[in-house]
Amino acid sequence: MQNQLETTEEEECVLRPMNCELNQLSRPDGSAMFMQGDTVVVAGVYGPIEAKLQKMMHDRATVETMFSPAKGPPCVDDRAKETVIRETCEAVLLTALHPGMAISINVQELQDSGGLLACAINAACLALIISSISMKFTVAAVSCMIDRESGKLIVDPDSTQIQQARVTFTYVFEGIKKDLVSCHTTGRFSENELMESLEKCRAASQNIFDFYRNIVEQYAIKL
Amino acid sequence: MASQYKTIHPVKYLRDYLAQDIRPDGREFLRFRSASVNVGAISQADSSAIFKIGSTTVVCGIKAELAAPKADTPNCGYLIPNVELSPLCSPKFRPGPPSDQAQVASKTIDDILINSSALDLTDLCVCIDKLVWVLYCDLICIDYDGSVTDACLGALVAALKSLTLPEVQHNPETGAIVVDTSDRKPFPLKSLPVSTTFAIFDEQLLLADPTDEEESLAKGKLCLVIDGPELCGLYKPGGIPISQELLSKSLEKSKKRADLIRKVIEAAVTN
Amino acid sequence: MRETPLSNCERNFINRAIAEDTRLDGRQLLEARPVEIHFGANWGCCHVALGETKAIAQVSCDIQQPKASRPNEGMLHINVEFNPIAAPHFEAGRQSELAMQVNRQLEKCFKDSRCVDLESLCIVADEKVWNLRVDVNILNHDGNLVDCASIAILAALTHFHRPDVTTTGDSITIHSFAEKDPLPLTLHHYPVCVSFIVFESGQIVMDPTYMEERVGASQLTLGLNSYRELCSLQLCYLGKTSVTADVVPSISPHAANYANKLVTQIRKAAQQDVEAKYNKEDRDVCRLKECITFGKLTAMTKPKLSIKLAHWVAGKSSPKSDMETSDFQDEDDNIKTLGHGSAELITNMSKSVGEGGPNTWQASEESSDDEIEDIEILQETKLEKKVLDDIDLGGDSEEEDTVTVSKNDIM
Repeated sequence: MQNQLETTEEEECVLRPMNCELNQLSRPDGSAMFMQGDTVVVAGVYGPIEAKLQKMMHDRATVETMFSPAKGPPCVDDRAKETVIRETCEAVLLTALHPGMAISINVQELQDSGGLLACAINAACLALIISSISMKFTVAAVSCMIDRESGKLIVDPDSTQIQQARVTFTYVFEGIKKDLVSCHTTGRFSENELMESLEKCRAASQNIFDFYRNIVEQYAIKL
Repeated sequence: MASQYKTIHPVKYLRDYLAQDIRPDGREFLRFRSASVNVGAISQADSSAIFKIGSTTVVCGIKAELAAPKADTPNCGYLIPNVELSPLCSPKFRPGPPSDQAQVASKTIDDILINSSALDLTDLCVCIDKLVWVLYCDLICIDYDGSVTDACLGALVAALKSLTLPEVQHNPETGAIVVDTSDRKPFPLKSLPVSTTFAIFDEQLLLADPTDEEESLAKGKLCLVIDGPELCGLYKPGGIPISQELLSKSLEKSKKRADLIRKVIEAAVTN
Repeated sequence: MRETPLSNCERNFINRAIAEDTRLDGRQLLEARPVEIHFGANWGCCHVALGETKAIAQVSCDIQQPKASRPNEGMLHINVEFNPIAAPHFEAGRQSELAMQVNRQLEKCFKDSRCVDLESLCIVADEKVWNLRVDVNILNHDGNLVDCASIAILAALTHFHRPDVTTTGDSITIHSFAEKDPLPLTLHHYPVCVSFIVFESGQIVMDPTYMEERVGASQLTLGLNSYRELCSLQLCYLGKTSVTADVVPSISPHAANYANKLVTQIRKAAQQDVEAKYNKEDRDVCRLKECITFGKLTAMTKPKLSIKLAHWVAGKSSPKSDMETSDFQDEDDNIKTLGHGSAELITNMSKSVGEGGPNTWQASEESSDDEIEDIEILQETKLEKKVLDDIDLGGDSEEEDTVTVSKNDIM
């Protein structure tokens, strides 16, 4: 452990290019098309809108999420993604400000080329920012994987890299203290691998927060 | 008096307890509930297990059937876990098609088994491209009192651990299948993944093994799956953010708990 | 959420404007909105924008057993999803009447007109055929969903390539794209839908917006191909109206011309992208990325980012976790084996307070005996190390105790 402490060098990591357009759709109150490499997702937010009677909550707003895949009918896998997106957005939103209302967050996959869940959460966060619903904090999701052969950690892998993955992690961090909001893993990993990936993704998440900040700055100054 | 207070102010009721460093059922924050397991109670199933954590009870029954494999994976069998959250276990659930929660629970259990590589699906192959075993694992929750994923996984793993499959003779030419039920071989389970659930409250308060009441009022949930020295799942679907220390703390606790649960399952199976 | 009702003001305004040959967006009555087509990186993925109406189509294929009635033909399924992202009144997971109607119209236009050569999709007659599935997801609803979806479907079908298959006797091999070049679909003709709205004043409007659709009196959708042939026709009355004039003959030449132009545009766009893919050019012509209007105030792009991450060192946080563990060492959990096939893990606290079990707070030798009275233990299982001083459930012993009592009066 001692010699490891001494070799604190920096490692090169590559994040895929990020492209985004806000309010591309005319109907939703806030929408974002977000691309990370070839993974493309559109998120649209309506809210606060009238809630359905059976889902209405008297003390806070209901958060409804819908994740629809590009191909095939929605399956259990998409339900699981939906749950992660919903619970993450519930943590983000100040739902107590809109009792008895609903906030509907809809995410549509256009193209999956690795890190779909992370991309979906980032798009949802951007759509929430532009829809100007009150939020507690912003969130950024980062995916990473460990290569099967080399055991190397790759941040933000693409679809060809992911085929070689032994483990994949998707982390969601909040913007203030960079605490962990959501986490999803596949594969077997050791505690050290977990901690290493967590630390690296936490550092990488700063770039996504910077992206949020830049895009908001860009339009906020002109308005 | 206390019950009225609890009905009117459920959140405050729990908070008052937590402020006194104790939980409503008398446990300390990081104390788990008792767990018990019984295997082989259902004689009709190929293997079965009942797993209890506190009053949360899950029954697992495994039925093995023979089927043709998928074209793209000719040497793999299937394992189909299905979690049922019926109105029997809690008034939260309505009769009818499986709720989102049940679907997500089934998916989580399936994911954990695949991730842990506890079972090798090629072990379920009888004859390549012709005949494989399909394991239908029905997990029925009888009493829903929090940490259901833990109980489901416990029941499933205990049932798989005690599973025996009959010897099958398959003639590729004639396609005849002879099942010798007298000669049953134990199914090799490579490892024993154990999941532990934590509830997270305001100001980074961690409660181990929450009850249903605590779970529904919690600000977040964390589920760790431990398998020997390694982890095979860390699931936190949103909720309040947690710090690094809290994560290490829960990891430490769940490792210990996993050891104990593993011993309990092994004790029950070998007994 | 229910659909927001249309006010009389809006209704009258649009009716009056249309009567004066004016449309809200400044178009001529028989003028369609511009069509933009973008393709994804995968085969058969296509994003279409018809003005503000947007849809995404994705073609996928798998191998299935054919229908008994048509044993040597592949299958084509068209599914249009109306998700709440397109408009708040769409409900997730439920087929609304509108969705059913649109689905049916598109099926008529594509499936019933037999534009895809399904016979070429047969692998082994009566056994294995390709099953094509076109999923259309509406992203933004600004009227004329049928046209937008039909353009997306046609573009996606033209663009789609399926993997090559070789049959050797009984078994078939599906080649990955790396092994053998994928094959395009054969299309006999190229149909698209062209929609019109007839107003109470008798005026006919092409490519209606959402607002115009709501005010209009009747809707007419023609399915036309580039040979000016009619593939499907749908006329429905949206409200009480007396318009029965010969709408179809009056607009069909215009519609046929427009359809011809549209099909040429779709085919050209698809061809361009397919060629770029064949040549493995990374030319960003009408790729999904181009959906983003660069330079717009709300658009942002960031090239590939190389970042430096600190090398992670194991054990950075270990002293902390060591401290944590020492705090919670005082557990004394017992594992007991109860009869055949059962075991129980008893944690100290829950037994004493939570479940009203025997009180182990003032633990003594007798109290533990009491508890063991009603449990049967068949065999001795040494689970953990040695037994500390005595059998003590509630004591402060650090180790797991193994309680073993042999009883003969079982079962």
